[in-house]
Amino acid sequence: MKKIEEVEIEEGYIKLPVEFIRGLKPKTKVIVRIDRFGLVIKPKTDPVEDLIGCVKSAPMDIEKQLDERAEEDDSEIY
Amino acid sequence: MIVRFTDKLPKALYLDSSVILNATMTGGRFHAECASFLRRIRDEGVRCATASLSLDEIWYILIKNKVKHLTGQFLVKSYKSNPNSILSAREDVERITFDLLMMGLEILTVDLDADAKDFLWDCKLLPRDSVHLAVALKHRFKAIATTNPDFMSTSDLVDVYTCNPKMLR
Repeated sequence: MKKIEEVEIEEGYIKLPVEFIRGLKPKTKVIVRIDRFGLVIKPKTDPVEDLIGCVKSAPMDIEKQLDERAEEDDSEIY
Repeated sequence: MIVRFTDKLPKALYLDSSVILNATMTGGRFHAECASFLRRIRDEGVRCATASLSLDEIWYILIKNKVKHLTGQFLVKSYKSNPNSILSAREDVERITFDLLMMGLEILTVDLDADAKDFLWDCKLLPRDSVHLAVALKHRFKAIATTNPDFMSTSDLVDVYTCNPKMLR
């Protein structure tokens, strides 16, 4: 999604660039949140479906990685 | 009691970071099982929570694997020479954290107390796991979902939901 660097606030409304709105399909619901980086607008999706498989990774043993975190950190530092 | 992911779900469930990470990362050994489990939780409206400690674990694994993938180096080594290296995982971390909050996962404050310490010895748990158990019990959760076999020793205190065959034997 196109990143908006600045938005205007006019009479209590947030004015978004036309190009941004055109980038959304009609009737798309959006989620708006404010975080430390500014105003974030994302098309509304099912968060569970968005989360599942969103990181493509090589086969890995997550349990082992969580277990061995401390040892791995130590071995990297010293 | 050790319970299968496919068994009847409780009304409230404490989610361990291992389940979230397996569902998120396609290479996780239990990716398919954890993905299906999260969908069941959503469909059945089960109340879910985890400790803020889980966010630390999730962020760490996401950053670690991203840095390793991009630089071929272990996280801490890469970070010490170039702290900016962790920025490569920013999009994933932001997205997943946002999704977890949007799906209604409650983030419980970690309040270290005597119980967490006792679980080290009583259940032979590693410190982080004993904190997870203490937080879950303090908030009256009677079931934990995890793929971490170390939680088998807690099955007298809580129902342990899992898909890890090592725990289901």
